[in-house]
Amino acid sequence: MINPLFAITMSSIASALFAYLAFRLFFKQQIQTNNTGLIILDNKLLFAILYGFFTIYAGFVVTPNGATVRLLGPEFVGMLAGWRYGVLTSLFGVVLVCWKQWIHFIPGTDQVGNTFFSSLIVTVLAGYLAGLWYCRLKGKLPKIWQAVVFCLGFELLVHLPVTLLLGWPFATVWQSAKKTMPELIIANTIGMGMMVFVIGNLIREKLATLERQRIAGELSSARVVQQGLMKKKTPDPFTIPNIDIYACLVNEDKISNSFFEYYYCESGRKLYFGIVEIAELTTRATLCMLVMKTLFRTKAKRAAPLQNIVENMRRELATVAGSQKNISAFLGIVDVDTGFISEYVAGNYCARLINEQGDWRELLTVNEGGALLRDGEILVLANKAIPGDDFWVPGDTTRQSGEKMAASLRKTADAGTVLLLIKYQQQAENISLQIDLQEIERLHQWLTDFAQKHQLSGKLLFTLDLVLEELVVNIVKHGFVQAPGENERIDVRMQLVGERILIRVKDQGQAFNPLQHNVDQPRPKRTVGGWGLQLIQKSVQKMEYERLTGSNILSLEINIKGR
Amino acid sequence: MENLDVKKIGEVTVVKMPKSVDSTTAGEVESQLLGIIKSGVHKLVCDFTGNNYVSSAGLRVFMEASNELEERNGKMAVFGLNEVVYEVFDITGFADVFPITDNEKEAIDSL
Repeated sequence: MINPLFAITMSSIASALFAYLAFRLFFKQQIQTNNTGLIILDNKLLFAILYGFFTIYAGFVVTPNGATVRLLGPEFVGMLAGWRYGVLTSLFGVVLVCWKQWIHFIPGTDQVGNTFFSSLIVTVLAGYLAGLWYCRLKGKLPKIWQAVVFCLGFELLVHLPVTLLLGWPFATVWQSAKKTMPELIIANTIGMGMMVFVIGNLIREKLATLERQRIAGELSSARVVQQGLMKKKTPDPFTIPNIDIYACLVNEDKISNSFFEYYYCESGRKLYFGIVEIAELTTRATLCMLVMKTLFRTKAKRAAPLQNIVENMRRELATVAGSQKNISAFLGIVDVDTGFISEYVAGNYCARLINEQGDWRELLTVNEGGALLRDGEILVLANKAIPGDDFWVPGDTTRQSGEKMAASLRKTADAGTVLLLIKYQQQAENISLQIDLQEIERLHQWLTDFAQKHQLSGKLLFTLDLVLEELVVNIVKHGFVQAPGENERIDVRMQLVGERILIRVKDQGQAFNPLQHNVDQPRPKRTVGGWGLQLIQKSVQKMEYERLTGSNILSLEINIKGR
Repeated sequence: MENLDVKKIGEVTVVKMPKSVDSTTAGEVESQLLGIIKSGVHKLVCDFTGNNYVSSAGLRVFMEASNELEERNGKMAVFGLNEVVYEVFDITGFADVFPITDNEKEAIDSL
């Protein structure tokens, strides 16, 4: 005798096993690529045949009262593959059963059970009705409770009536039905629930795996796209006037939600730069990035204000990603001639200025404010805190400094850390003169070399000679009340910037502001001397004076256009 | 610096200016010019045809020379200035102090 509980357990296990087997064998890979959960089977015919066997063998695990779960075969196939295959499974099962009967009971046809024919019909109906249900579900896997209710309904409304109707004699059938029906219902509903549970789980698991693979695939292609988007190589030092840039994505092998961008607007002589972080790390970030980078360049080309760029970026992002708030940015503009930075900051950024001696100062980030990038200073910008300065070695190139910082950041920073270094160094030529009129000759030679190098006209050279000679002679003659020290020098720095020559003369003589001397007031005729300042002021387009830490600093500008 | 070329055309003394009259050469040019004037020259012409640079130190030289001649009731004129040197004389108002002419003949005639 078989324990009823054991039989039920066995049929459940058999159902689960078959469900698992069916899934492994017949479920197409593609089914999961559409995540609607639609079921697409690979070889429905084979599926039907396999479940035909189930109908016979797994289904013949019998309870003491003769209940089996063989109907699950056609029901399951019908449910997953449609009524044609459901019926096919039934028929296959029917043929097998008949054949078995034939082998075992020929010629004793009276040995055929009371419910033999009704069973055949019920089996076919099971495949067919489950198939109809399949049509109703439009190919989706039913929920467990739906499957259980279907089974219950089938047993009560089809199996029982048909058996009672077609079985004979009625009294015997009724007696046995009373005993088997509860077991039949329990075994079948549990088996069906088991099957749907197993298949549903397998599908969900597979979907999750595929989703992970898809995301990984998309992320990896997004990474490739991003790497393509990022500038491969920062420009050679000073291809942008006075600017040396180093920028990198700290973890460049990972997908990033941040990017850096810079663009030199030649007409405005301004360097636009920025790092932008998009709040969510999604594959869409790459698209957003592409859109924003394009926008940044277009705007920079037109020398648009920073605020305007950020607003436009936000608007574009809203269109692309459907959200307006998830962007933080540090955008800035450097005037390459003066080193003046204006910046726009939204979000937390680390912005520091480091000079050639390695001293740090924070860049005060006031929206639409500004700061001065001094000669030789590097602006270090990152969307994460920049670690200590122990890696800083004076004399390193911007690239070397940048690479060291990136290596240091890499240890702690997560994906999406962007580092940007902008060194400001005026490409000027310098001469240091002793406080001696004999130096004028050397000054003239230096100016001649400068003029030759930059192909300046003779007239311009004349102007330079005149202006600088006057200034230097003035300093030598009047700058020092006491004899100047051995190490006293006059430092002259000159730089050709576009169509202007910028000159800076620095000395440690007594304070003297040439701008306070009005050269236009009438002077007594035939006075000897005093033309120097007049000549200077008539020759230059701009003159500024500054007294800084004991030095006179005179900045001049000469326009070379058409000269 | 070498001695300046000096030639006499009638009672006029024509002195050829060096290539550059700047703060390094001005002292020498000044002493030579004043020397010529003090030797009794009353009519002085400075030839700038070989000159291409005059700084304010140079201007000072010519103002000194002009003042010296004035005291002796003499006169001076200059010629042959290139464009930029002329500009320097013009900016500083020297055109009002002594005649600036195009060539030697005009310079001599202006005295």
